Amino acid sequence: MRGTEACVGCALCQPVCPTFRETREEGASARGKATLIEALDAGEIDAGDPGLAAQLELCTSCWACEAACPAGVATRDLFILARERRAPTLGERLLRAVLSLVYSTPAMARALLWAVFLPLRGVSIPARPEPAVSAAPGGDAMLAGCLARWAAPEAAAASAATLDRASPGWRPAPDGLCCGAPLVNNGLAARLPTVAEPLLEWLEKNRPARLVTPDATCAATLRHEWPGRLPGGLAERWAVWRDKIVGLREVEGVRFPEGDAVQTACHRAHAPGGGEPSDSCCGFGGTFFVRNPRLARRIGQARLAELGEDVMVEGPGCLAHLKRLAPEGTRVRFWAEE
Amino acid sequence: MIEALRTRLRGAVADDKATLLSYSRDASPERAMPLAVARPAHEEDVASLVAWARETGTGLVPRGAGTGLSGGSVGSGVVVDLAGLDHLRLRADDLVATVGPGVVNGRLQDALRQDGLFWPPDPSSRPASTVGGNLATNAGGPACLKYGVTRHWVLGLRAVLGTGDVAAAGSLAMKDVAGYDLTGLMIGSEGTLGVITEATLRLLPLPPARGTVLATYDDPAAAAAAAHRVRTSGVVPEALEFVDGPTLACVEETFSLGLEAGALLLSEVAGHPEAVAGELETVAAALAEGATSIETTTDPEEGARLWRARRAAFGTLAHRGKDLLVEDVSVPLSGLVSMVDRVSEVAADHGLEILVMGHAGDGNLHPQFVLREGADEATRVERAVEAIVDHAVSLGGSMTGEHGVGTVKSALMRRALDPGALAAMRAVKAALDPDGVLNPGKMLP
Repeated sequence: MRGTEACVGCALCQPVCPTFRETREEGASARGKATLIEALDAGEIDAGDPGLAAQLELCTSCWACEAACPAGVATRDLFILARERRAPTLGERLLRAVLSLVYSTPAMARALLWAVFLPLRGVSIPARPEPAVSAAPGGDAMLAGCLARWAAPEAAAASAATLDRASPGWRPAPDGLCCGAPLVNNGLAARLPTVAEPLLEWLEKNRPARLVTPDATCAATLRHEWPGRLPGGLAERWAVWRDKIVGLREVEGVRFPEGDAVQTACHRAHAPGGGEPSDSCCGFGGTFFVRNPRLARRIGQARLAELGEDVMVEGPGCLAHLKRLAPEGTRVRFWAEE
Repeated sequence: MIEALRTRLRGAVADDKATLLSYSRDASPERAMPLAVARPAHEEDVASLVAWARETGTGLVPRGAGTGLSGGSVGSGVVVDLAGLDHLRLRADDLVATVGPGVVNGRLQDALRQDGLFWPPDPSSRPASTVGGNLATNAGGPACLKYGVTRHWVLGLRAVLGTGDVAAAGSLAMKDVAGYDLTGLMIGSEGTLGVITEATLRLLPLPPARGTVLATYDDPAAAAAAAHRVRTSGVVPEALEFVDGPTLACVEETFSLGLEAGALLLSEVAGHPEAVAGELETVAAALAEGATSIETTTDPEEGARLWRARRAAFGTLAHRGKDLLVEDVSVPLSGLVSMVDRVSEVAADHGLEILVMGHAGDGNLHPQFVLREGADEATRVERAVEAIVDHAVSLGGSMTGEHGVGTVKSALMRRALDPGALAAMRAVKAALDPDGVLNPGKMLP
């Protein structure tokens, strides 16, 4: 892994960084964070320094910096690790306690996530995405993801309809099964086993051919974060499933529509082998939106101004965020919607 | 003291440790903890900062995006982050844009493209670097060959001088010889004479077509001869770039582009489609003699592919060691081969890995030092830089073509510049910044 010492300071991480573009503060950029982490390593700044905490959290975890870095600095791993290392403030402890509770069991996730996403979704009980025909043995399964399930149910419904056409007879993963991305991004990677265990149990019992997900964040977390972060036994069991994780747009027969005004899913574009980097993150960033709501809104509004009046969105979380911010007359829709 | 400054500015002043640390570096190896970071909201804030600096005897360090390679935007005084001065007014009828120093060059180009225009300065930091930083360093880039340096693309500017006065120099007119060229003096002065608060930029229509040609050679001498033929061919290409064999070998290790050679030249022509076709033919013919391979294209995607080896070179070398020091010398065209040869001699003498790429068309070369934190490496690097600069100067060239002096090369000024010229520079500094508060310790030794 290329650490902070590999940073040549060229600042090519600045123009791709959503928080830097909006704040123009050096500490928001990956270069600024790398400098802080270097100082943390050298003991020049305290792990409990409030400025350090604030700057480390000026990050939507879109990882555009890692894709843009000519020196190959592993910003994703470095920043995730730094969040684990910094001494948590009272507010941080509270957030971590809530996250730990939400992801403690699938039942708890089901109950609490429905409530957590009320502000993004509005008061409704979203229908569970179901296949049109009943599940065939050896068929695919779909993990809609917490965001599509409870924050942007229209994305879950459209994904179900899309998979019906491309791979009929799929089965839905039960509500509450989760990739645990918020745990990884908030210094709680050690708690991944609590989400890995139930998902693995379900997969091992039902043995689907593949696990399809419309949410690039789930796909990236399952493919790239789990293998290095799960303890031995779980990691071994996960190795069987890792390559069976498929993004919905990668399923054969699914066509991702071409268009100019597309809000790309950062976690597909910036994952290893992801192809063209995203133009810019929408500012949602999962818990980033909880930590920095005003900045998340500013980034989203600036992004909408760039995208125009008919916006197609690849990620369910980005969809919920941009829909809520869209001015009248702007259409924001999920890519798989009819 | 910082509290008193806060009350005088509309913009923010930060002095918490995390902010100071994040502003303690730029793209050079230099490091310095600033006293505070001020983020002026407008020109009046900049004037207040200068007044405060003179009263308190504190140095001000103007900063754009911190992409400079000479330490110009790093210092122990108050760093003045000019990102907040980012107004942009396009006068499309006049082919002119009036912008704040904090506007990012890449964002400016995005905005201009919608009106079919562009601003020629194209340093490789373009996506991140600011117009203010480009002016302060008189930034170059590949396209200087055709268009000249930043100075040629600025019609006027506003600056708060070290005296505290605000000077509005130049005009909106393309031709203006009224008085001393104050605009030209401020450009390239690295924030040591004044803080630029606005610039009036001269624009060009975007060329509708482009053509690219890539040629490889057995050795730098063959490439230099080809570059000379291009320069006398009657066509002025937009770029004529050079990559040496060892750099190509590094790129090849990572990307396998099939470009193993002793040297590479890459040229681009831009303009009217019919002109581009003819010019591309002429340039290709000039490059063909002595070449081991040659490829031409007018297709933008193919063009991007041909540029890949040149563009990937920086990242590949950045991956190679612990750090990368990008040097910058400039020689007359006839000195190109001698300079490349001298760099490899110096590398061998000092036990260093130094690879060369740069702008063959205008003789501006970048020896790249792959640093590995070896024993007494810092001293060996210092000696090697001196030897390379001495050779450039002996050929009639310059100690820096486009990266500037800052603190990194300040000590070399005495070796490389005429004493009379240095004295005149000191007199200018004393007149415009009598208390020495603007970017102290930069440029002048």
